[in-house]
Amino acid sequence: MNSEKNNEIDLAKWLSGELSPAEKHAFEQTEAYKTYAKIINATEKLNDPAYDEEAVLAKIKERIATKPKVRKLNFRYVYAAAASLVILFGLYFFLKESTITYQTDFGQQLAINLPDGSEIILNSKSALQYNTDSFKNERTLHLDGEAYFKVTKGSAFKVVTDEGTVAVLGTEFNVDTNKNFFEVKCFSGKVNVINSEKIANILTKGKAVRTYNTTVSDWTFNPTKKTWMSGLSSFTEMPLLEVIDALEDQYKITIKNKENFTQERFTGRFVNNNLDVALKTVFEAMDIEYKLNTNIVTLSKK
Amino acid sequence: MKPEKSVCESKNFDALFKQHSRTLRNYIYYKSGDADLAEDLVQEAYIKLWNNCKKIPFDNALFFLKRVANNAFLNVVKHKKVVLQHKQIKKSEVDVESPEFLLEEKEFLQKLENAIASLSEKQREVFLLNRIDKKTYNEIAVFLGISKKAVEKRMHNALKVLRKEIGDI
Repeated sequence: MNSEKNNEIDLAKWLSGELSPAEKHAFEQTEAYKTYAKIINATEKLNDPAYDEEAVLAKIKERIATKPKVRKLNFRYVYAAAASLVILFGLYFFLKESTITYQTDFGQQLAINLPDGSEIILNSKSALQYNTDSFKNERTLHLDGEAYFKVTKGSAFKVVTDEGTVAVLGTEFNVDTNKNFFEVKCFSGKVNVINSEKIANILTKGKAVRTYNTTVSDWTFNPTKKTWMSGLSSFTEMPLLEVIDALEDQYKITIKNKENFTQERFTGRFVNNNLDVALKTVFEAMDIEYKLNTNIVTLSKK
Repeated sequence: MKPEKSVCESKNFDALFKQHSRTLRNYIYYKSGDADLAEDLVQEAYIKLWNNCKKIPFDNALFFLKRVANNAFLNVVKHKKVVLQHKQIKKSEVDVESPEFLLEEKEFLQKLENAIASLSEKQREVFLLNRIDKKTYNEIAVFLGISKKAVEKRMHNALKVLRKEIGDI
């Protein structure tokens, strides 16, 4: 094989017919030439995809023709868009800078330190929101779910929920809300609880109050036990449905047939780290049969 | 000196379209292997040319079109391998060819297309603009904005790669 000679051949020049007759003649004697010739011959059969020049031009003309109309409007849109962008940005920064939201998922707990030194522990499936700008002047928070508050002494400290408001000066207390359910436990100091019916209750250490479907009840408890924060969820005369909700939030499970147990109340607690034990303590105590099947618990009366 | 032709004039715009649109379409097609995409980008490029017709001298129009289409292409696709859809040219000789020969020819075309797909983008552009669009090296050099020497080098290398991919017969 005369491969050395091949390398000397400028294939581009061969293709464009710019080789000298001698060079061309020599190249045509080589084996490589046959392959190249066949390739070039075959490329004659290659075609570009169909192209309808007139149709494409017509499309372009059509799009150009509709352009001026759009353009006129464009400026108005541009100004409007710019203005709304400015507003959006302002709003974004305003909201971003001033509102903080904390959220917990199934089985999560979150410890939060507020700028005034107050401490909050947020239970699972709960949300807490406050405005950092106005918080210095007015200590107001929004709560959805359950949280424990240890409030530093100072101006009025308010926890607003959909089901009622808790106002304090400096104390420790627990707030648990759910639909039509509002429970506050006071662990130290004094707490003023106002439910959605505007009924006020002043709680002192060890006192608790609950509004459940507009019925208000109060009781005393042992304030040295910090309940769910120590890995236990504890309840006093709690409607069973609320306990079931707490189980669902804690373990990310679905409990079926709970609507059959609207009257039952539960006093006791369940652990937050072992589903089997928790289910056993709640439902065996209530004499309810249950079946656990990968995240779904089905209840039935005995 | 006579005044320069304005792109804003419809007849000049149409002339630019007739002169370059197919090459432009094929150029993008050779890069992307997507004929529909190529056609869309050609439309975009010409619309942009029209919208900027006052700013662009007639002689720079091709360069502008190519750059717009190329930028748009880079935004959309990155290095999709080309699979060319060849069409058999209907020739009267076809009828006389033996079935074995037809099969062999078809096989070879298939091989050739695969080999073309394995070329680098730069080699492929040059090779196909020359082979399919029948552009001279000079025209390709102007179109791509490179020297004629560079075009020849790419062509030479493209042929070498093709031979290597296909193998000697």
